[in-house]
Amino acid sequence: MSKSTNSSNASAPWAYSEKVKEHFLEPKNFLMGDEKQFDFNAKGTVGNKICGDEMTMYLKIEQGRVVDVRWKTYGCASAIASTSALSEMVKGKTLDQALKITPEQIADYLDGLPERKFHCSVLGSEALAQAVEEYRAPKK
Amino acid sequence: MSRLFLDYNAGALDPGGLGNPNGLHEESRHADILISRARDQVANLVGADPSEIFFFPSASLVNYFLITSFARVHTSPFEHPSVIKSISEFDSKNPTLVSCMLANNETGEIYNIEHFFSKFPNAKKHSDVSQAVGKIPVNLTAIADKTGLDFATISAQKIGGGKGSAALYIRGGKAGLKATTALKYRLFALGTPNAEAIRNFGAAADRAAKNIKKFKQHIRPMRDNLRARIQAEIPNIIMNTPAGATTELCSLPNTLDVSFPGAEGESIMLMLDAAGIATSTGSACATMDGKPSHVLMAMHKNEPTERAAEIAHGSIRFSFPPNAPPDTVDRIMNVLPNIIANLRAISTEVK
Repeated sequence: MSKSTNSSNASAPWAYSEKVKEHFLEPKNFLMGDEKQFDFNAKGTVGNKICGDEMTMYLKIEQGRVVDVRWKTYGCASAIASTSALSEMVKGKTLDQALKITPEQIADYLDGLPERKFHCSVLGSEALAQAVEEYRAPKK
Repeated sequence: MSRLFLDYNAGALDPGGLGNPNGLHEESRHADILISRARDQVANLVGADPSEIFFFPSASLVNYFLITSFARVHTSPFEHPSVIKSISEFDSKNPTLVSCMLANNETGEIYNIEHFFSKFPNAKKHSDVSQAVGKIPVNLTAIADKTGLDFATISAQKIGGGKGSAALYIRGGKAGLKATTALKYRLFALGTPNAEAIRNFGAAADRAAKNIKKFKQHIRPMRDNLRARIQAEIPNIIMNTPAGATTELCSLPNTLDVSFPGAEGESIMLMLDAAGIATSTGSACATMDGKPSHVLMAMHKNEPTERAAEIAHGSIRFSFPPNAPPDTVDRIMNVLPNIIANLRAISTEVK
């Protein structure tokens, strides 16, 4: 359904790219309901309800590598799509590689975000950084 | 023999053959007659004398011209941005102009403008009635007699008259305008009247009278049914459109604004859009200035800021046209409960 552009249903182009639309309407790796359903060992939350965006990244880290990931997001279409995209990008990466993912790369992965929505992708990488930081902190 | 048109410098003829309404030849007179008829039609719709109707290119411009003609202005917190952003000095103690809309564009709430105006006997009084006209009966002469109203804003676009026309009502017509020097001397900047757009405004005003009946008989029960079904089928919601024993007097018949805390408005709106249903939201995520709806924030100002923001961010406005199909509510309720449940389930706030 997400990629269909059949002419009988021709609609005005979204302000968002097809890729954003796809990740918004069919998000990947989200965590539905209680977080206990996912076996994670790192978690980071950023944003706040006053701004209208809040997201949490849950990571399962094994031997310095992100082996699985889930997320929860309260926010607009681009916030949901950004977190979904980031969850795809981060899977399988080492922590150092994961930390190098920039907001620009998340936006690029989504074929761009409207300028005023760019902060949504910033929030995603901040949530990820916080999760990694939290994971590393007790070991120091 | 066809006429020779040699007044091209006054303005090329419109595609419909209309000339500059300010000229004296037949092409101009034709345009002027159309404008004059439209003035009668609009005046008839809003219960004013035709001499009290002044055409503008847009309702926002009406508000801008009027508000900026007064030094100190006080308004309700619920006004349209074209009112609020035109004010250079807010003054709630000794304003020269007070402004209170008749009905709110977001919530559909109908305000008691008489009560609002009564606290400012020395100020001129303005009401943006553009959301009320065509949805409920509006009689500006009666309102003016009762409340002291001096000015009102009327929009063509909101009653199906297309873009490019609106009207400023000035009580007493030219005499009323004379008393407002700053406004009077700026009207020249409006330029040549858009005869085509004004004609469409007039025609829409005639149709609007029939629509008022449709809104009352068909749309209001539909809206009330949507309210009841959302209340029954979706948990934890907040109705931003007031209801009461006298619903007809407290909100527009076609508007229902609801908040779904835990789900964000732009996401709800775009999910509905993907399901073929067009709505709007007061969420910051969907506005150009990145702030949640000032109307909903003001309405819920007694709540903690975080709660008020969540209510505004989670709001959806359903505003029915007069010809909404009979299965409208079923179609909304076939998809809305799932959309809200899914967005809440992936939200950071665990329900």
